[in-house]
Amino acid sequence: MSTLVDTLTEGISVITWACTLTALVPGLALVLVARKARLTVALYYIAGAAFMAWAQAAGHWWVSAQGAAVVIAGFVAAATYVAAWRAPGHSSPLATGAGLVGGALAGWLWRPCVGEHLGDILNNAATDGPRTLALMGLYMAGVLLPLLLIAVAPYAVPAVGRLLDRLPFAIAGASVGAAYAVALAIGQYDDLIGELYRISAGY
Amino acid sequence: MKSSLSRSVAVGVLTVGIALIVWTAVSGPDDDPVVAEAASTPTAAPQPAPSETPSTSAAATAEPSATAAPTTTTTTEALEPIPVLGTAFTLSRLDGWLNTEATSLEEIRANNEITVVQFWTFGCRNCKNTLDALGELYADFGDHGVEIVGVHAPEFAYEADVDNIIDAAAKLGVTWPIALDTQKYNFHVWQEGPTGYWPRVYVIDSDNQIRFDRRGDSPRKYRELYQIVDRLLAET
Repeated sequence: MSTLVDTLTEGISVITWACTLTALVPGLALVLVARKARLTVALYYIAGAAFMAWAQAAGHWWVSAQGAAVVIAGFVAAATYVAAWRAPGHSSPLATGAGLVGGALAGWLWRPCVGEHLGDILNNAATDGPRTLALMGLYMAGVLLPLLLIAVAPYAVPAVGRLLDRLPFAIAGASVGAAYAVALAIGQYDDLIGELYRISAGY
Repeated sequence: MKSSLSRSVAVGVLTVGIALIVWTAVSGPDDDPVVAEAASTPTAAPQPAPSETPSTSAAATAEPSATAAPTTTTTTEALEPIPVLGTAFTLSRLDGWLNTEATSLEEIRANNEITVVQFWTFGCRNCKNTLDALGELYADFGDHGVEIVGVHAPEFAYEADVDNIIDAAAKLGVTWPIALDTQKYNFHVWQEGPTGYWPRVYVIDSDNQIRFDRRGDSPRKYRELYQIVDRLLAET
């Protein structure tokens, strides 16, 4: 039980780190864009990111984030935002797909901030699949908790829902998504990460 | 009724989530995170292939090369043999060395029984978290055939500046040899797969075999590192 709590809280503790923001910001933008399916998109985004991050650590995914693969990723990222925008409801395959693919993309590009518990997950991913996959899911739930909270907030406080439903929020999300997709497609995503880190670290 | 229930659940999730964030922010993390970087395959000719790929997954299948030897470790438990995880790579295409007269990993290995190789960068907070443990190791074993090589693989431009590295090493008390891997060539060669990590530490024995390989800054793992070095030294 302690391991579960510690893993979750370690994920939460790095929310504001630049290396986390690179996965978190595109997810927040995607949730804002998905006005009619925020919760579905958020949950599948977390699942997709956790699975891909784990798959890389376990050696099941060998495509490096470089060259043509990153350019293709830029177009795929753009498609996830369009799908999220057009998703008509929670049960829509567009919502599921946008969340899952968007999350997988984030997990692939993620430069994880590795504390003690994530280190254990990474070190054992290849030999202890089910346990480390579950722990990675928990860790990622902590890292991406803001997504979940934004997706849940309209159910708890309807006024927040009405606020988030306004067009400027969707446009803001779409703008961030577009910047993310373009940065990927033109190969500047690493620089964006570096700049985020530099700002975060105060250099 | 259904709407009321879903709202209650949402309020609960929201409350717990916010409480967790506040609690974590107030209590603070136990350890700072390290940063990992997506690997880029070196474009130049590869190094000589090792007989085994160094990886943590190899630990599960590797045959131990020796039975437990007498050791100075004070424990009454039967010790597991230290597995062989593969043959270590060399260090090449470096931009130089600091804190040593040596010019190659082979030269350092030739003068020592055990070599600890850590990939680090001075801007990485979790790398810094490990320095006390490495300093203790160096103080205890540095004169007994153990050498530490800190392979400095910068993540960002300011970490690639040699003057900054020298300043940081002095401030951080890094007195062991530093290999300057500015282009991260060795960083990616040693760490196969799509992602490399800071810090990552290896222990290499006198036969150039990797006997320990860990990612992250876990104090527990660095205590284990100390014990492994102690035991390997006793074996030799």
